[in-house]
Amino acid sequence: MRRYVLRRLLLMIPTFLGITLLTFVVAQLAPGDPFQLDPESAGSGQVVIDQQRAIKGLDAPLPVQFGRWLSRVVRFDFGRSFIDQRAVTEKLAEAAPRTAFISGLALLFGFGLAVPLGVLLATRAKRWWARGLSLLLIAAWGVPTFWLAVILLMLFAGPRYLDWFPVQGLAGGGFVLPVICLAWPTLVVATRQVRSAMEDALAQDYVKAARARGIPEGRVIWRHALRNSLLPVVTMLGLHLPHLVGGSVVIERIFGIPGMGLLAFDAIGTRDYPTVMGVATVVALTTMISMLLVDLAYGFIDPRIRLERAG
Amino acid sequence: MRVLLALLVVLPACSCRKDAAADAGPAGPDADWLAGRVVVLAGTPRDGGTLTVRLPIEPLGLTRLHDRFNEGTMTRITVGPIYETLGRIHDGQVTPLLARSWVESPDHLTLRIVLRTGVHFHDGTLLTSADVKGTLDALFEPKNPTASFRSALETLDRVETPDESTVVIHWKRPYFLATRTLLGALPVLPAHALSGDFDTLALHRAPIGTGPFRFSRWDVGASMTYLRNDTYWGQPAHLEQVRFRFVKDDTAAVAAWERGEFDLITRVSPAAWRASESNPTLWAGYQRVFFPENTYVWLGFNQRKPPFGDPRVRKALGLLFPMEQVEKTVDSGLEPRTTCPYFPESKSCDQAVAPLPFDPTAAKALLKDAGWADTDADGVLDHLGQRLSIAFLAAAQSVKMAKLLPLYLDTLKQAGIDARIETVDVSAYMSRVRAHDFDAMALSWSSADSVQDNFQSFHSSQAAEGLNYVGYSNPEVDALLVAIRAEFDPDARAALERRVHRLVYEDQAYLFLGRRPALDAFKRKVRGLQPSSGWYDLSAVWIAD
Repeated sequence: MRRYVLRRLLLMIPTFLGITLLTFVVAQLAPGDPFQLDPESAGSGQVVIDQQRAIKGLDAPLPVQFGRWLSRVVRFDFGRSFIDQRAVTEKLAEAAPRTAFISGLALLFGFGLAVPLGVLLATRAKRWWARGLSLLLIAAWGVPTFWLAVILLMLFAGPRYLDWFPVQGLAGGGFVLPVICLAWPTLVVATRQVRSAMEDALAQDYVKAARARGIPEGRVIWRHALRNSLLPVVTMLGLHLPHLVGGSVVIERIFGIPGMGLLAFDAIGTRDYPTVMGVATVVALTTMISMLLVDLAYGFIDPRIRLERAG
Repeated sequence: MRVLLALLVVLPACSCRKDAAADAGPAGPDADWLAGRVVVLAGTPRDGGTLTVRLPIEPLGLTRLHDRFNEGTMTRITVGPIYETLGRIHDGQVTPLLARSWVESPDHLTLRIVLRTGVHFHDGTLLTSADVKGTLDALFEPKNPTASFRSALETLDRVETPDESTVVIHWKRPYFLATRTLLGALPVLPAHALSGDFDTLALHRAPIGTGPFRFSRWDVGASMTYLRNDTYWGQPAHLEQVRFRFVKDDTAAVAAWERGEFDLITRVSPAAWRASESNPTLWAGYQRVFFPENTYVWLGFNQRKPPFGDPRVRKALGLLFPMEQVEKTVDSGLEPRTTCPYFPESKSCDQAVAPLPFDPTAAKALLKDAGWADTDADGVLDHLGQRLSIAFLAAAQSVKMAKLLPLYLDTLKQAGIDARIETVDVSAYMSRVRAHDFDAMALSWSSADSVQDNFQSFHSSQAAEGLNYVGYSNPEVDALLVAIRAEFDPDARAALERRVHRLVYEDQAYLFLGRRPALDAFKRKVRGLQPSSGWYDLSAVWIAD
C-alpha cells in the first residue's frame, strides 16, 4: 500500500511538468501580448513595449522562460503579476480560501443531500411523488447556473421580493446563494447517480439473500446496498474536488466574490502569464491529489479493488 | 492626454418589472430626472458620514504614473481625492492648487512655479519642490513603465529647483498642452516614497498624497476606504469617509442599487438606466446624472488597404451606416451622435459640419464612381477582379459591437458589400490593431480635459507606431495639427481645430459614432455633487439628514 502511494506520488512529477508546460506554451502562443494592452503605450512605440518585455524576461526563448519559471516555482515563488505587480502567491492566498469556502460548502451540500435523496428515490421508485421528483430532476438538470443565479438574486436579495441576503460578497449570509448555485448541478447529477446505482444494487442477489436472512430493511439499504452504490459517487466527488480551488467565473462575478475563477479569468484575458501559471499550478496539484484520494477511497469502499492491486 | 478604451461593455441584464412600477408610485419621474439633470437641493453643509460609491472595476494601482494604473476615468476617480495636482482644471481654466502661482516666459519655453507653503503629505512630510522634481524624475526614468504619461510631457527638457518652494521647468519647444498637462494632470507624489523598484512601490497600493482624503484600507476584490484628512491645508472635506465598492456585475449592481446600498452609483448600464425609469423606489430616492464626457466611439477602416484608402469608399461606408436604428436599438437613445474629434461643446468643433445621412442610393453612386460594380452578377461589388469585402475585427467583450455590427452588416450586404465579423478576445484585439492587421475595427477615445491634442490620432507620422491606427493621411490636416501644437491663443487654435474637424469628417478618417455619457445616480440626501469631465469633487460633498 505504502509503495503504491509512493509510486503514485512520484508519477505526479512528470504529470505536473506536462500540465504546466502545456499551460505555459498555450498561454504564450495565444495571440495577444500583456504589454500591448497598455492603451497609451502605442504613442511611444514598439521600443517601450520591447523594453518592458525584456524587463519581465519575455524576450528569452520559451524553453528558457519555462526553465526560469520552474526554478522559481520549486522555491514557491510564482513571480509578480504583470498587471498589478503584486506577488502571485499573495493573490492566490487571497482568492483560494474564498473559492474553497463556497465550493466546499457546495460540495457538502450537494453530495450531502444527493445521497439520501437518491436512496429515497430508489427505494420508493414506484410512488407518484418519487416519479414526479425524478422528472423534476431531469428538468432541473437543464437550468443553467448563471440563470439560476440571476433568479435567486432577484428573489432573495434586494427589495423586489424577499430581501434576505446581501447582493455582493460573502459576509452576512452572502455565501448562501452562491453555494446553492454551485451545489445545484452537483445535487441534480449526483442524486440521479445514487438512484440508479441504488436501483442496481437492490436488484442484486446479495440483497435478496440479506433480506431472506431477516436483516432489517433499513440495514439492508444503508449498510449493504448503499456501500456498493457509492463507487460512481466517489468518482464524481473526485472529479469535483478540483472545483474547490478552480472556482466558477460566472458565480464569482455575479455575487462579487473575488475567488480563483475570476482571478484566472482576468489573468487569461490580460495575458498575465505569472498569474495564469500560478492558478494552473494550484489547480493541477489539487486535481492530481484528488485523483489519488479517489483511487485510495475505491480500495476502502470496495475490498475487491484492494485485492486486485495486492495481486 | 488621451486614453483608449477597447469598448469593454459588460453584459447588461435587465430584470424590469414595468407593471408593478406603473400601479405603485405617485406621478412618476419629472423631466429633470428623466434627462439626468442634477437639481441642486438647498441646505447647510454638515460634516460627517460615509459616502458609498459603486465602481464597475477595481483599479490596478493607485498612482497615475504607471502605464497600467492609468486606465482612464476609474483611476481618476479613485486617485482624485488623495493626490493633488499643481493646478486644477475647472471650466476649461487652470487655477492654482498645490502651486500658489506660476509664470510662463513669453517664448513659452520656461515655466516658473511657486509652490504653496505649509502643505504636508498624509505621512506628515512637508511638500517641497523636491517632490515635484522627484515625481518627474520617476516619470522620465527610462526603465519605468511610465511611457504613456511621459509621452504627454515629451517636450520637457529639464527641471530645476532653485529653492524649496520654486520649480522651474524648461521645455524643448513650445507646446500648448504641455503646461496644462503638467499643472492639471500630473499628481504630485512624495519623493521619499519613490525610491526603489518602481513596479513594486508600496505607494501603488497605499498612496500618500496631500489631498482632502487619505487612504485607509483596500480589501482586494471588494472595497477601498478613504478617511477625511483632518490636517488638510485647504478647506477640509465634509465627509468622514468615502468607501468605494467594486461591483463588476451589472445585475448585481442594480440589485444593490435598488436595495439602497450605494450613495453614488457610477456607470449604470444603459439597460438599467432605462429600467430605472419605471422604478418608483429609485426615482424617489435618487437623482440621476446624465453627463456627456469628452469621449466618443468610432469605427475605423484600415486606410493602408486598397479599398479603404479611397475617401469615396469610406464616405459610402458612412452613408450605409444605419445610425438612427443603432441609436434607438443599441444605444437606448443615450449616446448622442458626434462628427467631431474634439469636445463637441467647445469652440473646437465646427457646428456647420452636417452628419452623413443614411443614404444607400448615394452610397451606391459613390462606390460606382470609385469603380465598384457587380460585373460578375454574384451580388457582390467588384473592381479589377477584387471583391469588395470587409472583415470587422471585434473584441469579444464588447456588447455594443456585438449588437451594432449585425445591423450594419445587413445594410452593407444589401449594398453589395461582402461583410463579416471576426471576434477575438481583447488582448488579441489590441495586438491586431497595433499590428494594423484588420480591415475595420472600433475603439473609443476619451479625455479628462475638454482641451486636447489630436496630433497622435490623425497626423500621418503617427501611422507607423502611434495612435493613428487607421493610417489616415492628409497633408493639410498634418500641417494644421503641427500649427495647433504651437498655437497658444485659444481662439486662433480653435479656428485651426475647426478646420481639422471639417477635413477629418469630410475624409471620413473615422466613421464617428456616438458619445458615451456618464450615467450615474446618487441619493437625494447626498449634496454638493457636481458632474464635471474630471469627475466629482468629493471634498464639496456632504450628506443631509
